[in-house]
Amino acid sequence: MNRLAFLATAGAVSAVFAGPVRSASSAPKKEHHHLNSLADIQKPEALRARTHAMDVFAISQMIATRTPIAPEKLETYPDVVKHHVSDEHKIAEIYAALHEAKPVASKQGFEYRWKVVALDAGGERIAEIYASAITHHGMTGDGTRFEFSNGRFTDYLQEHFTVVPVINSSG
Amino acid sequence: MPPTPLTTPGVQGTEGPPAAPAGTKMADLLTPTKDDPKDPYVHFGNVAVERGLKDDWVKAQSYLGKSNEAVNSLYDLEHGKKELKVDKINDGNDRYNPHDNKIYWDPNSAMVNADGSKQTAANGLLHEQGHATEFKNHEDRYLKQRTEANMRYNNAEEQRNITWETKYSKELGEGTRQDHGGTPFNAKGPTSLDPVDHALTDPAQLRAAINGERGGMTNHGYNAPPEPGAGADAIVKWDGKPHSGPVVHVDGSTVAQYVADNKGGGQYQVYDVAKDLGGKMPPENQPRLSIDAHGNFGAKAVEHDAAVGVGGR
Repeated sequence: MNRLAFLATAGAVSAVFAGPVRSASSAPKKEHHHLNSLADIQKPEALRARTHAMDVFAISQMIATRTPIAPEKLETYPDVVKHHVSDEHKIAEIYAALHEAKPVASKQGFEYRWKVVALDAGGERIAEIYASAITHHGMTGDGTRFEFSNGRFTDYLQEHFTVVPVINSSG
Repeated sequence: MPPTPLTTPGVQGTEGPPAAPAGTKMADLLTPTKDDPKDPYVHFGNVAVERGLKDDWVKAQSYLGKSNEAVNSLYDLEHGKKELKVDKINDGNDRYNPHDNKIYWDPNSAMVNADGSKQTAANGLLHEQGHATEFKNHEDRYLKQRTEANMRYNNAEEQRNITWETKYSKELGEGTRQDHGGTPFNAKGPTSLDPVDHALTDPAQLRAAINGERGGMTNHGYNAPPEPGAGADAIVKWDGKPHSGPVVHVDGSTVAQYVADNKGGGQYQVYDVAKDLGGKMPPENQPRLSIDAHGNFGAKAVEHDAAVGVGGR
């Protein structure tokens, strides 16, 4: 076994049990993650047809962390900004940007600060796409790594979605 | 597309903060300049420390004072033009946020590096101060180097800061790292390298601790996961969903899998290999290994890397 992994995870046992845990009321009642593969986003027409809304999660690249933000923590990271997109035109634009970005398989991963989740008519997740804010690296919901052939997808995200919370003045 | 370089050549600012006036001692910097009980922050010059964090913060700074780099860092921040706040967190997500000029620090979050060496929570505080100092004194450079990607440190600003971190870590006698990786663990305090449950490195102790925590969860009204060996039906009854996360081999017949929840936390699901998994031992070091509610596993194996943050490399 990997000694380092054992030491590290064992040391965290108390912390994770002491923190928020799934209660009876919050425990998911059924599996609803139908995570996409790379092929799904290379030819996203089928996904596009099923998508009724999207959630875009963003963490500012300017926030410095002691260690990289793990993909599984991105959605719930303290500084994450969530944008819910239900406008059909905007959803079409996101898919167009994804198509134009031409993702290809890659062995390399990176730290991801963008996550786009596609939701069907029932609000179920049908796709998850992670993307780096400063490289072309990405990852699909099933954990497959890829690289975009250009910056079209992340450029679109950066142009249309803020990465810092908007503070509304009461005045 | 050009490949992302391993490191960024010519990174600037690795020398760290400017030197404090000769003769400055850490103790000189740890007397509050404003301490009003009604104020949620205790002020040390232009560094405002959340009141509930003050004692751990002072303890950490006193320890860090063994290195002149720490004295220089705190002196520079306390004498800055803009107030820097330091807030307490408990989730290990140490960070510096330039948008609100705040350091978020977990005073119990130590870290184990890829080579097995360790760093204290205090070390993490100084790491974040390094970012704050860079943003304060060289904002344009900070913003530029945050976007210069490299594989080893993620970006040039982390490379700059970790190069400096290496310098002060050696002076403190702590472990060093050659990348931006590391796995946080709960230590006994800001200057400790000992895990809260040191004996958890013993599989029997780990099992006992997990069982104890299960009891505590039940006492506090949580729906605790079933005991190892309760069987697949009990796991289905508990939450009925596949679990995905890294697996640790507790012993020859027991495995623990860390399952992140959707609130930034998570817990370990413990399996009796014979009774819960049909005698099939799942592999380790696959951060997204899926184990379903009926004990089937192996849906997807993914290589681990620094970005995943769990497991060795």
